[in-house]
Amino acid sequence: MILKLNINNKFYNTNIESDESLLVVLRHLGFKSVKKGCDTGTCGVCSVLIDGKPRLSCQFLAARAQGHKITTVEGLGKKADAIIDAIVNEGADQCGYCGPSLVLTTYAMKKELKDPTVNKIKHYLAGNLCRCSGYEGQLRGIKKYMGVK
Amino acid sequence: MMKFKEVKHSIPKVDGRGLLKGASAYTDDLTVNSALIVKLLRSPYAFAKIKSIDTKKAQKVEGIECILTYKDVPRIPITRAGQGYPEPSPKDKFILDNYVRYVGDEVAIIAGTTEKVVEDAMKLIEVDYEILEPVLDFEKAEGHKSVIHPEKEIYSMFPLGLDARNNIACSYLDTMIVGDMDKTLAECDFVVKERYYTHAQQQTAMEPHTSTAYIDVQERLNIITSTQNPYHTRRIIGEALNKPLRDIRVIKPRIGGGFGAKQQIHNDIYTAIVTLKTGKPSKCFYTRKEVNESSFTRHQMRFDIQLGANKDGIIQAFDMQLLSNTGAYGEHSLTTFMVAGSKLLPMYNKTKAIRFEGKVVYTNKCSAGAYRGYGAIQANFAVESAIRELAEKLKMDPVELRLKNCIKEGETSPVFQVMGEGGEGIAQIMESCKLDYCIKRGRELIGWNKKYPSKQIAPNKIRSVGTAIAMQGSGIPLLDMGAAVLKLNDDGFFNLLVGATDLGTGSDTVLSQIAAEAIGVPVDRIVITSSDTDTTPYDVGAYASSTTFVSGNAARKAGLDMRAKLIEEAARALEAVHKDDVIFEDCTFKLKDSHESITLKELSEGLYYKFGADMKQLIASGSNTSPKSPPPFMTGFVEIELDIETGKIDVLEYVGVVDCGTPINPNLARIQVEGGILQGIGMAMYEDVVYSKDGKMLTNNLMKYKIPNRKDVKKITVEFAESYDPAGPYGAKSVGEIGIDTPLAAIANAVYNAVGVRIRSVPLTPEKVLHGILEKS
Amino acid sequence: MRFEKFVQPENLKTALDILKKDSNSVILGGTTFLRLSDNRYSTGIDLSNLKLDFIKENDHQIEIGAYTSLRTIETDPVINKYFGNLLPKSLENLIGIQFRNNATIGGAIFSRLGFSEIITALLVLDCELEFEENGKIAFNKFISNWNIKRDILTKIIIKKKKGKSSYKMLRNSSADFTILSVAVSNFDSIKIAVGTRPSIAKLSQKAAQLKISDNSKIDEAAKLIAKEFNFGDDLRAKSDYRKKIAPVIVRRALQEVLK
Ligand SMILES: Cc1cc2nc3c(=O)[nH]c(=O)nc-3n(C[C@H](O)[C@H](O)[C@H](O)COP(=O)(O)OP(=O)(O)OC[C@H]3O[C@@H](n4cnc5c(N)ncnc54)[C@H](O)[C@@H]3O)c2cc1C
Ligand code: FES
Ligand code: FES
Repeated sequence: MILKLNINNKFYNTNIESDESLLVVLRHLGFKSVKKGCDTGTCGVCSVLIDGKPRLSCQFLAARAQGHKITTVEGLGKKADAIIDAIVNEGADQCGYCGPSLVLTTYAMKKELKDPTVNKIKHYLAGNLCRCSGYEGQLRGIKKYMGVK
Repeated sequence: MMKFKEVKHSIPKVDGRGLLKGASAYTDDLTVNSALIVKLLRSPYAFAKIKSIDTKKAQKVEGIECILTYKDVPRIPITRAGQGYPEPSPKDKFILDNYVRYVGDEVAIIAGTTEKVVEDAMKLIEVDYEILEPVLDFEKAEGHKSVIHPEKEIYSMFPLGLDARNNIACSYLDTMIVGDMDKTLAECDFVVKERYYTHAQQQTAMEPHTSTAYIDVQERLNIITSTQNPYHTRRIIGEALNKPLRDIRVIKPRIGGGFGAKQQIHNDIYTAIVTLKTGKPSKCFYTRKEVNESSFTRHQMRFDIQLGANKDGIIQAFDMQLLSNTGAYGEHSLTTFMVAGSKLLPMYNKTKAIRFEGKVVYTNKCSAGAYRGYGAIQANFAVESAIRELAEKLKMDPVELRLKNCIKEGETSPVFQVMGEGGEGIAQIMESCKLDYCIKRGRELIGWNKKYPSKQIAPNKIRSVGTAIAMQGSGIPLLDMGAAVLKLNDDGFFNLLVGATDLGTGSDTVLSQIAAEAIGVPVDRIVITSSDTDTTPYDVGAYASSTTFVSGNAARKAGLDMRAKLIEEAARALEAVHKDDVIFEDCTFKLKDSHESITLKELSEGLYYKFGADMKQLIASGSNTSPKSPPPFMTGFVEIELDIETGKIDVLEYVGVVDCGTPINPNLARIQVEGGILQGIGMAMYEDVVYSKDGKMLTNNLMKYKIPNRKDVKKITVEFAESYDPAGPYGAKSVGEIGIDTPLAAIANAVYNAVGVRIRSVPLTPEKVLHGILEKS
Repeated sequence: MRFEKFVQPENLKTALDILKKDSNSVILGGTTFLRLSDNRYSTGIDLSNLKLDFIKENDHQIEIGAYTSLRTIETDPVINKYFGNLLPKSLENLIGIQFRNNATIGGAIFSRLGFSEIITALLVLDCELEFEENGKIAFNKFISNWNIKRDILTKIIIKKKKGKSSYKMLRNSSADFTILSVAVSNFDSIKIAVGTRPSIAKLSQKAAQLKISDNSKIDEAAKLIAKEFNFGDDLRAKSDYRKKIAPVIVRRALQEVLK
């Protein structure tokens, strides 16, 4: 099927198979920040924002994506800088494979969480697995970014 | 305390921002869209012989380019271990074989234009299996009537004690013996004699194993692969395909974590062969199921420990008998086994008698391979649990017992000389060892004196503390070699080319800092490239905690060499009488007692464009191998809360105090340790590789195999001891593995301290803990 | 999961027609669970245009559209207002918010998974399901006796009730499946549901007869209730362990409700 997708505020016409995941389609279109890490919807590295909400693109049918705003880290541009700085200044980015999805989810979290606390941050980001960092450094950085003591 | 300009500073990772912004950097990102998709048909049986295999129907599926079975590939025994050469692992694997030895073993390689056509074709391959009785219990493997490797061709290049007829991949007996064990034990006032089990664990790097292959314009095979060691990969692929190494190039791009998993050869061999057969680019991206089921896990082990001590609490006898399960193939069978001994036995060095022996057996399960901790974490659980049991008998605080017996600066252990990785070791004295400081500082940070052993905080909740200590190595002495090349560019910056493989560890950053320190320039003057067998110099790769120590010294040597060359050129340019008159500071060369100076930028431009007959490319290099492997040390302290009605453990805080020499980049070192600790906690509490009765792995995805998420542990605290090892680059030892070792025993000890229940097999599931509690009451 | 054709019907009737006519078609919820299977379908029927994504309330009841995401339910102020944190608690550990933004309540109920926590929680509410063809059916009936196969779940209707409720579970890692889940409510009478046994959640028969006024009886009652259920083995625990912790978890939930 032919779709017109709004990705990072640009339109892309693309021919997809009806059962293809958004993850596959995005990677095919060159949005390589969106990664694949599992087969079960459990790792979070494929997270994208759909109408501002973080969702797993590996589960999301591309066929459903038309008419929605899709955002990947590539589309955050400068808006990602403060989050990225918060993470790299702690050295909390190791292999980086979980990184773009973490940045993106943190961006959505900042908009969504009214009065953030450490527990709320951990809860919000629980679906973003990271095998390298042990999460502590990410938390140190993200706490700063979220203005949580 | 030494003052440094570049090292011992926490700069962000050189690739950090780019990766977080989502740059195309990992293998799959770099694959061309037209690459053939390669998938493997895998065995549904734990042990079977292929009677016949028919691919005719599958070949007819539109879009299928190539299907290969054991009949179509060279039959050369290799080991996929990814170690130095000659390899200390049995050569017991063929690209494809007519035997399948575990559920998930490769039966056929299928390549086609899309994933769907390959999947469709896979379903059409007809295989007739003769199902054989599998060996699934590693304690019954030796001498089992099923012989897992009956083939004649397998051999070993090392004296491993390979005895395939009896399902023995290696045995190590009668060698690591100091003193008279039986006599010493008989003389001891207290003896602990217990059996401990550790289970397999999945490395679970977030990036699944991936590779892509293509033919370049010189008609050579190029492979981009998520590997920890491109040079070994090139050598092994050359060996397996019977091709000269000049015809193979291996490129390591960014890697999404490895933890040992990517030391082994994985699907690179399949993309290589498909591309050679078809002439077309190909790629293989493992599913998580394949990563779990069909790559490599941690070795499952069984320990029989005897510890003997006198009333005064000095440990006299230390005996370790080990049985290890290497699964279907023998990658790392001997070396993980030996590390289990060599990283634990020297820690308690007041002993009169030491013995370490055992065997590694084949079973019809997923192959075991390299994984952070590499034998040491398994042995740590056994030994550090036994130490706590000994403390109980001695009625001694376990922290005091460790302080009394642990190795100290300036001391040694006979074990270093007897045992290395694979063969003999090398004697060494601890020139840096702050283990006693780590123990004391950890005790303070966790509040041991107030909290030990435990405190009931509610009718059903007990809080308690537990501890364990650990030691690792820094590379393999006189086996690991790494090299670095520095090249000066106009504008006064340097390319640093290293074979060392950053797999997310931050080694590109750390090596850049070391090279900058050595040259005497800010780190932003360094642009690093790693690693590519065509363009970067040799390095063993990232394993055995070697990179900072071994490759770091290479970068330092290259830096010092470059500095000397720069000064020589500056002296010429400044017409100095003597080189020693040139001072290099702030990227400027000045003449002593004069106003003459030339900037690095000017010098570099001169050398490129202006110095006429003196124009040249400055290149410096350094190679390094070390006769020593100075161990880093660590103490882990944990505070847990135990629900005594359900057996559920919550980790409230984990404290790690580490002596890794100089932390070249303290932030990155800290994250290495924090990440290691959490992986250790995962193994201690959640992660388990479980098989069905007929040998199918049940935990073959991340839904069933649970690695810790960020809600699981409340707090991890890491500190470093002030330490400097003269053998390391600017005093550094390794830090990559040590973090993972202590949680198993520390948490098990905390459970004991809470409720008096001793669990001698990990993971510490609520079920086991509750069972222990109920049994006791 | 694979399917050939993707259809986006504009109304429920058309959707049902396709489902009925094509025996190899499938309703697509958030496809979080569907995706895991190797099944091949001819047609995937999308529900996004059917306006089934809503939470409505009137004086007597709350209605949740079947296409509402689990995350919406978890964070919805209306739901939080009436049932305390019963439903959010049963959802909050499911993988992550990216997952719960995908998964729908319709899929969660219709798939009748043994480890489903939301089913445990919904069992103790006064709750009905509405299907396009079969009309209304009591939630408990659907869960305990599954005979609706090819129909579209359109909404979940929950009666507003005064009283307390509690959800308790035990899991090892915090994003793992539960080893046991328990929900208790005390509206007209006490209701107790036990799930992940590991088979699907079930309501206690004896709970309604419980008259627990003093706290000391709770322990006894919990033991009695736990005995009603049979337990099995799975990867996470053996039946014996579930048997042992069931009275503990039931007691804890009861205590919270009767506090
Ligand atoms: C990795 C993983 C971990 C999980 N962990 C937990 C957990 O810890 N606790 C827990 O409670 N649950 C857990 N679940 C289950 C989870 O709740 C379900 O996967 C999810 O709710 C299904 O919703 P969905 O909308 O994605 O359904 P889908 O996958 O789209 O559909 C599931 C089934 O329901 C049918 N269906 C969907 N909507 C309708 C409708 N409106 N009418 C009729 N039929 C319909 C589909 O045809 C399909 O047969 C887990 C699932 C996964 C994959
Ligand atoms: S790829 Fe793992 S959750 Fe999507
Ligand atoms: S940095 Fe490697 S997975 Fe998070």
